[in-house]
Amino acid sequence: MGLINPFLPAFSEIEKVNYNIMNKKLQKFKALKKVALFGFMLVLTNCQVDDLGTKQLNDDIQTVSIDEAKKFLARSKNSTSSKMSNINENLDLDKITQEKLNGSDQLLTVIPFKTNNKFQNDRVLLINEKNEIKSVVFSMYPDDKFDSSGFSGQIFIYSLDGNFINGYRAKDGIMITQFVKTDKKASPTAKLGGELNEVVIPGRPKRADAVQYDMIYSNAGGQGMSWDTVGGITGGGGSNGTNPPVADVNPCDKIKEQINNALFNSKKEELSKKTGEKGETGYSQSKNGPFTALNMSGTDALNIDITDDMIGFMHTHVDEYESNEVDPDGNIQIRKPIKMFSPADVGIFLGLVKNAKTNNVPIANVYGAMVSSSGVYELRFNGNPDNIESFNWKKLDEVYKTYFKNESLEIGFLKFLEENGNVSGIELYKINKNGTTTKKTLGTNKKVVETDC
Amino acid sequence: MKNIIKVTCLLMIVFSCKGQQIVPVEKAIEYRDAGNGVPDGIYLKDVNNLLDKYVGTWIGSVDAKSYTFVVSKYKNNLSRGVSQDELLIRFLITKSDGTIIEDTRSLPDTSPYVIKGDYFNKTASYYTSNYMGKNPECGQSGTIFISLPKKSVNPQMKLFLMPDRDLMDVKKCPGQKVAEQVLPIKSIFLTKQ
Repeated sequence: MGLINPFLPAFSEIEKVNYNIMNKKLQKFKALKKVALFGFMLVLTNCQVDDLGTKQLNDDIQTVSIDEAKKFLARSKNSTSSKMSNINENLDLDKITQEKLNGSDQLLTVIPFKTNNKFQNDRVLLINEKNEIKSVVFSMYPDDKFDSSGFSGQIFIYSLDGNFINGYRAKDGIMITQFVKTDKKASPTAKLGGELNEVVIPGRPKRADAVQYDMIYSNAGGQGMSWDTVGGITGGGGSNGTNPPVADVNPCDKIKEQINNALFNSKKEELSKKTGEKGETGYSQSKNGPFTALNMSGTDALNIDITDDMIGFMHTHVDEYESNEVDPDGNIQIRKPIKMFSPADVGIFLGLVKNAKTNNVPIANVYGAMVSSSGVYELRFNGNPDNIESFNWKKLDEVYKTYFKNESLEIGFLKFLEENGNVSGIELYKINKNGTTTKKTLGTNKKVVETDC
Repeated sequence: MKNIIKVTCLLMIVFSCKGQQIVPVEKAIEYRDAGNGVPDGIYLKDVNNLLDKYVGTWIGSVDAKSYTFVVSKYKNNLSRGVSQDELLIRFLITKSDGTIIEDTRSLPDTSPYVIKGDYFNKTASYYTSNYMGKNPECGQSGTIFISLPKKSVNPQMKLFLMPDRDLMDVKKCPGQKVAEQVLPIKSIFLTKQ
């Protein structure tokens, strides 16, 4: 609708015609503007709807706490399904982690299997979606080895009772084919091929090392959310899990890493030159690598002040040394220390294991080392840290010394652990002079069984 | 028939030898130094009565403390048929006013607080035993050395403690320091009662 300005002077007829034409153009422009604005609004509204879709899903997704996870799995354990019972028996509840879901502020709860090795890695993944805990078993079979630079191998996703949900074949970190079931009557637990057909995945390439949320939980939305599948296994690759599990951890490999570490080696060499001193010397090590010298407290105690980030210690057990006393025959009286881990060493080592568990430091990194002229030894823990009770190991000193009255250092120590240790999983390793490592265990005949690393 | 008797006798000798393979107790140090343990069935016996000389009650006073050590001998059956004659040492320590600092005299042989004998040095001129006190985690443990002159009418026994050198979380100890020793860390001389 045109507006006539009453303040304008009177127009001629031509001027009036021109004015009417201009007025119509203006009206047409305004109408077009409204249509354009409406269209733009529509586009914006659609965009907002899309955003709401993702946001709503994120709101629907919540972290399953570790306690909730344990309760959930305990309920599953009572299931009549024998497969589910088997899964429960194989789960390593001590290594539960909560790992970052990229694109979400919530965490994925991950429970690895005790049976995990370099050929197969199975994990139960739990998430709370719309107040319901959703669970899958996520299995990875690498062609060669787990590599954070790009996974190659097969990935299968099952329900907790073993039903096939989904499967993929990956190469260099990209999913190249998908496994689909061809026959509904076919065995749902077929893992590798069998009744499964392999089809090429159309469209954009999907990543195998950052698998999308909707590929894990197939009937969900979750656009834009993903989970790093390999980081937790290889200990790298961008996983931001709060407690990275270390699958296929072999203490031998960890000791090899140490031996190849210049700093560790220099400390070991330094201590090996100090076994002739009268007092013990040593270092503690923090999880970030630095060593801190241990100080004497008085004349006899090597003080170790356990801190949250401490992962290990290395100290000497000295050679025999002279007292300041002589016997009536004029002989200097000589003390012969036991050149093997003492009960106090074991107690402090187990304290570090507990400490690591509390502070989410991988147990595989924890060690206690003893450098002596009888050899360099390490303690490693391969048991359940929750089974380590608060216990005064030093109270076993008297019993401990009895073992060395008739046994060698290694047998005496291993027998002492076997017969008095209130926790299983303490392992003894010897770092040999040629740089190799040997695991020492007690055979059924009570002789030392040596296993080279 | 004669052959059967001969073989039986031989077997009996072999078995009896295996069961009673006696080695003088002062040789224990040689096995320890060799580092391979003591062979199965060995009895480290006090055939030369070296331990007997220490058996008895010994008293002495130093720094306003009175010490009484009661030394006895027993056979300790270890594993694999190995056994060893050892000394057991119990003690009473009192202040000059009679206050008891420590008294282990009535404890059974199996008590960890009874000092257990271990080995003689190579010339058997001194004997070591293992001591653990009530507060081992704070330093009350170590080796007790005792020695006697070889020829003397009224010999005095020399005794002292060398504390263990060990890792310790000192902040967990009372006063955040190593506990004081109740046994003398400098040698004292004791007279036989």
